[in-house]
Amino acid sequence: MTNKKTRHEIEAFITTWIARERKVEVKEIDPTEAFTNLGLTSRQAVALSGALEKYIGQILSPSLVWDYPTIEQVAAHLEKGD
Amino acid sequence: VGLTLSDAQAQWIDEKRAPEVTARVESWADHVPTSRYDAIVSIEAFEAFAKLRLPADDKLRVYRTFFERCHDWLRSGGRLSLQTIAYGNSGPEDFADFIANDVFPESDLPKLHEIAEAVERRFEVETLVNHRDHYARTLRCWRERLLAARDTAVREVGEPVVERYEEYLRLSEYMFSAGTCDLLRIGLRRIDHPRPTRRS
Repeated sequence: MTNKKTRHEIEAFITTWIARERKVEVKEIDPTEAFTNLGLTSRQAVALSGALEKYIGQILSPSLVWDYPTIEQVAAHLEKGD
Repeated sequence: VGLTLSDAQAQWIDEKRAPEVTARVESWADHVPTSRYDAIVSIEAFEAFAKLRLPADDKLRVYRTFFERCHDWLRSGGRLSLQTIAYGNSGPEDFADFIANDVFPESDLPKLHEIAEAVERRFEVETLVNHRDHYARTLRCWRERLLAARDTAVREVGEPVVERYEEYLRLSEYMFSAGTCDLLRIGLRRIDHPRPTRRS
């Protein structure tokens, strides 16, 4: 059920998701900024891994955002698909 | 003899028809054994002994009472095996409201030092391991199984319940893999002649 996405699609998905959660404009989210500086709580960070699971159709580690601490790094990791 | 607060669990044990095992729906606080035990195994009960926001002294008193009871119930040199989740790199203030209010509203976890203090002069620690990675793996397996049977689960309990359960499994896996929570397995040996505490 894996739904292959490109790095840019994943980045766009995460950016939009965070912008909606934080109620800010998408352009205010810097994909090279650490998640901790983007104002996400631990619970939101875990919820993001859940949203990503649905988006790419693959079970993911809930610690994803801690293991790959920027939007760019998460997207690059998921594009590789390992 | 097995003690549980769950009717379903007691029934399950009875149906196994293991004549050497008696399951009782009874709290440890009300238990009166007919003879002394060689060993006591306590699995995942300790978490529920202290209520959330109980003052530190009261929490320690509850733990102490449990260990004193176990001490009374054991023969000389008897062993107590304790398995409990504990705060790791965290405290109650760090817990997501979802876990504290929705999932385990009644419970507060111990810290290792609280257990160590509560067993003093009643039990000595023989072994201590932290198997939090085992729980992270268990929770991942449960989530994979739920995902595989998701359509059936949604039909039976509805989408919102399944989503809440998924969030619980995901947050719990995160807590054990990140070390916010530990899984302690402690092997204790009864101190048969506790020295009285002297005032200095």
